[in-house]
Amino acid sequence: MIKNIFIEVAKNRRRPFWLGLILIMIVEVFWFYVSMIRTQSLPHKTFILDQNYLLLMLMTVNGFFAPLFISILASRIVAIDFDNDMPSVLRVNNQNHRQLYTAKLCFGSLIVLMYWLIQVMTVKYVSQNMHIVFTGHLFIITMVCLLTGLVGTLAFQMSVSFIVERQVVGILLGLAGSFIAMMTSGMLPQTTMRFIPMLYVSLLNPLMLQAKTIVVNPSILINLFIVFFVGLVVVLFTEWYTNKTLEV
Amino acid sequence: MTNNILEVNNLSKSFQGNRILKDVSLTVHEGDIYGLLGKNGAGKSTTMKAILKLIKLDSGTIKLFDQYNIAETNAYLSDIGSLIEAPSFYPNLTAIENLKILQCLADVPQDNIEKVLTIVDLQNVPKKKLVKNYSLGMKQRLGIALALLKFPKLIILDEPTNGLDPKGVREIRELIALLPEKYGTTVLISSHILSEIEKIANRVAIINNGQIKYEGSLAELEKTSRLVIKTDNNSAAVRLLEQHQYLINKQNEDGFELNNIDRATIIQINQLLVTHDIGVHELHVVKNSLEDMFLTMTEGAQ
Repeated sequence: MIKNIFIEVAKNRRRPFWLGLILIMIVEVFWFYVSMIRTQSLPHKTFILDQNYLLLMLMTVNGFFAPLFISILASRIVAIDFDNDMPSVLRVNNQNHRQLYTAKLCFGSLIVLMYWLIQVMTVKYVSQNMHIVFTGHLFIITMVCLLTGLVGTLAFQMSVSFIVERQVVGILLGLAGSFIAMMTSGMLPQTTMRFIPMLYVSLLNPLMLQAKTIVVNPSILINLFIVFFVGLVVVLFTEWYTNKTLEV
Repeated sequence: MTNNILEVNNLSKSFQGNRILKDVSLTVHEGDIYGLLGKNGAGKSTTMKAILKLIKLDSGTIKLFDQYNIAETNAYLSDIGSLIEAPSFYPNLTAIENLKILQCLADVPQDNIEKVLTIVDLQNVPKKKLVKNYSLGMKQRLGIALALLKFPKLIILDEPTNGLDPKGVREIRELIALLPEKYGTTVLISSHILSEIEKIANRVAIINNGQIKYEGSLAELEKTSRLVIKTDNNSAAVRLLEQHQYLINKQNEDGFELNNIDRATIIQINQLLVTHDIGVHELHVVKNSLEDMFLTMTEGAQ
C-alpha cells in the first residue's frame, strides 16, 4: 500500500490544481483570521471572544471552503488516471481498480491531514494572538470532528469521482456544498445535513448558536457516528463496485 | 514441437445486443509475429482486450503459455506487455517517471527502464522533457517501451503505427520485427493496414464482423491462387462449368474466376470451353496477395 501511495504522489507532480488548492486554503485561513479580527475590533460585541466563538468560526468557515477544496482534490487525483486511459494499463501491471481506489483514498487523506494540520496551527496562532485560552476538551473534540468531517466528505467525493468518471459532477457537488454552507452559514437543520455528505464538515460542528448564545451541540456524538458510518459504507461500496466492474 | 503462447477458443462476446465476437479461435506460437487483420470495428481490439481480461467474455476460453487459463488466474499478466488502441501515460511526467511508475507496480528490475528506452531509441531524449511535449512518433515509442518494460513473453500491440508518418511507421515496424529474435518476445499485432503486417508477420488471422475468416501462415496464404478466365460468352461459360461441378468464385461482365485450380484442371477447363464453341481470349493464373485474400474475405465474396 505504501508503494501505491508513493506512486500516487509521483503521478501528481507538476499539476496546476495544487496551486488552486493552496489558493483556496489561503483564502479560507485569511477569511477565518479576518472575521476574528473584525469581531475583536467591534465596539459592541454580540459574542464574547472566547474559545467557543473561535472554534465555532473555524468550523463555520471550514464548512464553506472544505467541500470545494475536497471536491477539486478528489476529482483531480482521480482524473489523472481516467483522463489518460491509465486504469487498463495499471490493471495489466498488477494494480486493479480496487487497489487504485484505495491508494487514491489514502493519498487524498494525507492531503486532507495536511489541510487539517494547517487549521490546527491557524487556530493555535489566532488564539495566542487574541489571548484566548482553551479549557476542557473542546479544542480536541472540535479538531477530531473537523478531521472526521473532512475525511467523510473526501470518501464521498472520491467515490463520486471514481464511479461517475465525469469529473465535472464531483466538482459541481462540491461547489453546491460550499454554496449551501455559505448561504445558510452552516445552519441547515441537522437532519437535512445528515443526508448531504458535502455538508459533513458543517454537520460536525460541535458548537451551535442558540438565541445568540454559543452552546455545545447535543447531537454531536450521533452526528459523528453517522458520518463515520456513511463514510465507511461509501468506501466499502466503492471498493466492491470497482472490483466488480470491468471496462465493458 | 512449437510451444503455444496463446490459444483462444470459441470466444464470444455480445454488447448491447450486438455480437461483437462470434466463436473466435486462434493460436499464436512461440516466436511468432502474429498479425490480426480486420477492418475498423471487426473485433480486433475486443479480442485483445479479452486476452488482457479488460472485458468480460460471454463464452470461450483463453489459455496462455501452455499453463494459464485466464478465467482462473491473473498470474499470466506479469508475462504480457500491451499497447491497446493508443499509448497511455501521464503527460505531466517524463518518460523515465512514467516508466518508473509501471516498474514499481510490475516489480521488475530498475535497469529495465534504461534498456527499454534504448530499444525504442528514446535514450537520447532530454531527461526532463515531459511526455506531453513529445511528438506522436515518440509517444508511440514510449507506449511500446511501457509494454516492453517487463520483457514479456508476449506483447500485444493494437494498431501501433496509427497516425504515424511513413518514416515513423517504418521505424516502429523495424523495431517490432526485432522483438522475437532479439528479446524472445512473441508479438500479437493488429492492424487494418495490410502492407504493414505483410512485411513483418509470419502468421495471420483475418477477422471480419467478429468472425475469424482465415488463420494460417502468410506463406500458405500466398500459395493460393485464382484462375481468371475471359471468354466471348461469359454467362454460357459459367453455366457450363457449373454443370461440370466447378465452383465459380467471382463473376462480372468481363470474366470470371475460380480458386486454387491446378495445371491439369486448367487444361480440362480450357478444352471443355473450346469444345463447346466458347472462345477463350484470356486464361491466366494470378497468385493471391494478402490484400486479395483480405478483400475477398471481408467484402462478402465467397
